[in-house]
Amino acid sequence: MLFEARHVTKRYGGLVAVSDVSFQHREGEILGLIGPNGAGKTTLINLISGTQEPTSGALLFEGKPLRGLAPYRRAHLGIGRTFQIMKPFPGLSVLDNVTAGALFGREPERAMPPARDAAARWLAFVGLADKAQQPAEALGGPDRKRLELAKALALQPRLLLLDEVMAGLNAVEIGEVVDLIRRIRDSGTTILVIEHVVKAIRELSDRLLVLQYGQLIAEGTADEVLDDPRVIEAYLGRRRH
Amino acid sequence: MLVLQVLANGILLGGLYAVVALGLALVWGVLDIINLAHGAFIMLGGYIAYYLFTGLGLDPFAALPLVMLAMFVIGYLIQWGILNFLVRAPMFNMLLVTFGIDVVLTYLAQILFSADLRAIRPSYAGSNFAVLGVTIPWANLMAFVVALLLTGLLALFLQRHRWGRAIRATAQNLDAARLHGVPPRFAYALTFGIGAAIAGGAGTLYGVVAQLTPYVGVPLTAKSFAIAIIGGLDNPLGVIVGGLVLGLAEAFGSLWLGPTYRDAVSLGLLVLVLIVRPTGILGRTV
Amino acid sequence: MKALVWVLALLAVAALAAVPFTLSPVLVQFGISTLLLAVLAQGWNIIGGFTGYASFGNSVFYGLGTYGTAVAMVQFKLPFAVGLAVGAAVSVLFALVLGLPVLRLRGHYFAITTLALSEAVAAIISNLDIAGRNTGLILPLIRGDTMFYELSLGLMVLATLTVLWLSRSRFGFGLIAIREREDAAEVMGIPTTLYKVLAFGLAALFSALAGGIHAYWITFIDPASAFDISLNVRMIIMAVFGGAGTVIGPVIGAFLLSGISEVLASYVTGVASLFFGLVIVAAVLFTPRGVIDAVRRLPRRGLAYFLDAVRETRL
Repeated sequence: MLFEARHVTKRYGGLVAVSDVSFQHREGEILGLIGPNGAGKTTLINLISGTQEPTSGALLFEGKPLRGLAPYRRAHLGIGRTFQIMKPFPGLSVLDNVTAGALFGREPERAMPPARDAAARWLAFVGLADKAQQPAEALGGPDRKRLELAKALALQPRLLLLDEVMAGLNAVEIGEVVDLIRRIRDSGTTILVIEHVVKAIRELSDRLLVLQYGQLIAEGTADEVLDDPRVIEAYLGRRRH
Repeated sequence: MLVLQVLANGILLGGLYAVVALGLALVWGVLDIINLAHGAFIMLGGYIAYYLFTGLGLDPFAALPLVMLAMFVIGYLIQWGILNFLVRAPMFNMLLVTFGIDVVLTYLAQILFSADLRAIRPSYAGSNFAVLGVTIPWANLMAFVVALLLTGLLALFLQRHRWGRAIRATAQNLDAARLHGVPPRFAYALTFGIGAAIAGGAGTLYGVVAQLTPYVGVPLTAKSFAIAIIGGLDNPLGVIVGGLVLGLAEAFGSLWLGPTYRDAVSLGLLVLVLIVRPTGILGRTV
Repeated sequence: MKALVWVLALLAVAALAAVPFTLSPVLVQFGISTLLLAVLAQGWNIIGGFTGYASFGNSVFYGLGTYGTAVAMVQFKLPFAVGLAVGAAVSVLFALVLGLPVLRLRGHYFAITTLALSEAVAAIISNLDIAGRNTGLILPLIRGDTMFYELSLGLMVLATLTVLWLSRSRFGFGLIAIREREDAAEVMGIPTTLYKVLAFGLAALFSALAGGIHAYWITFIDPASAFDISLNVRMIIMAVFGGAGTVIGPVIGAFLLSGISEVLASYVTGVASLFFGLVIVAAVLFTPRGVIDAVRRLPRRGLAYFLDAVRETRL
């Protein structure tokens, strides 16, 4: 078991964002996380990556509790993430954005030239090699998504948390990203992916988790879960309105 | 009795401090500009009132509107002619330019008014009355009342007047200000002008109860920060709380630790508040 | 190209080192204060230019370096080198301890807190007997402008080499990432708190050493001059005018602005400070990205550069 959540709850004052969520994430598995807006998906990723701490419950990475570890320590352990609202380093070049990951991730490079080489390889992997020297600010939407992915990959994560990396992409671009995520998994990375694009999540996920109002309401293979009437009502049903 | 006297001194000082900080808090809260020349505006307002008094024999409280009008024009022109060109520059560019303006005003004052101590002393200065054995100088009490009046008037203006609402909208975002039919460049200049006008009013009151030199600006700017931070920027009335906290802290700090610790007390308080609650005592938690 | 830059830099340092032996004593004195200002600008560059924290508290580091050196030399009769080390140690310790809570604040709040901190420390120092209270301390007199000049030059070279190292090292890269977007930097594995505090400490080290050298050279210190806020503003303006976050910009800024204010002071004695204020305003308005950027682009863009600079930042 690479990662496990045990009865994790996150409260903000009276509001419960994540409520008693437990699940297990096997090594090499792509786990899909779906649910309506405000269901607590991003909060869950924040709790795992360490930008927030759970109010109660435990998060275990390779059997060891994560509580109290700062986000950068979790990155060193091998937890990498992307942000739904993308957060590139605006004044740095595309290449240097990724170099940060190569310098400070798991098994980091300690010197600049090899770190830049590694960053260039990750940019080639996501298909941004020709834009390496551009300022990150200048990138358009789809390319920003790729950059966000390359930054997280440069950390060489063992567990990669993807927060809506396909939002705003067209069908062709989504196909490319789905293919990319598969290749990342095949290279040995375990992936948790939040996504609204149902077709993509069905293609990708080995298993699916469904959150609603912070609670885990369904868990299983994509086909089982997406046919569950509760899920259709809670999530797909709402989307139809 | 000593404690009561110190309490009264602290409260009177606190009222004055509220209006000293008011202009800075307004400009900071609405325009997100920290005006390092704020104290210099206060100093300049004080000198204008001083020369109206010594030259024309105008009572400082009667001169107050004139001083505020003059400072409004100066502030309006500075924002319109200089600071509007820096609004989208990095933060410390604005800090540096307002510091440059502070330097210019300070040395202009030194050349024009000399470095001698000046104070506005009308006939009633020095007369006082006693309540419960506590001595209250009339001038300080009047300054206190006028200070609170100015603060209340600004709050009212921001709530009720069309321009006041436009200014508050500017604080939210520029497009909202446009919806109020007020172009942003005008709204910025107006806000900064009002901030300068209030600083001028504060300077007039300061000249009545304390002494002016060209160099009072920087310490007054620092205290204004402290007050704005303690009171928070969400509400113009916050400066009253901030002013009273600082006034009382300084009065009791002088009493218990000795007058030389006065500045250490107020600034130490500021650092403490910032570290513990960056949004101020009254501010919302983030 | 790279070799050429190094040769030019070495020549420039050699030329500067030769100043006391060739030019007038007045120029040497001007040189000492300019070199020390360049060190302060580089110190600010580390925390402000690289890490993105607009510190108004570097004058505290300078002041503590000044007082640490002076107290060690006057009250404990220690030699200058030891005094310098004491001043630097006190200042760095202060930066590390205070940095922890203060560096959690961002933007204006950080700027104001550091400003208040420096005023508060000044107020405390002026109440300490060992520091001579308000009247200050008088250090043992020594004649040796050449020694002070070469010492200041060495410190400036050291500070600039440190910044050069920052611009090419993993640590410096982490600082830049913090400047660009701190929350993203943290999930990218950068120990942001540690790095910020270390940067603060490094800035404190150079500022304190400059303060200690200045104290012994000028032989008299008091709280007002040691903790002068306008000194802090001068370091910022020099760094920003030259180019914050660049390697050589703060040094160029220090030399240019010191030169300008020196010339102003000799021609228009009474109003020099006033003109200096105007220079600050004009410099920030027209070269908001620093002279290095201006020099690089001016030949191509011509005077339109200044208009574009203004247009880019106006409301």
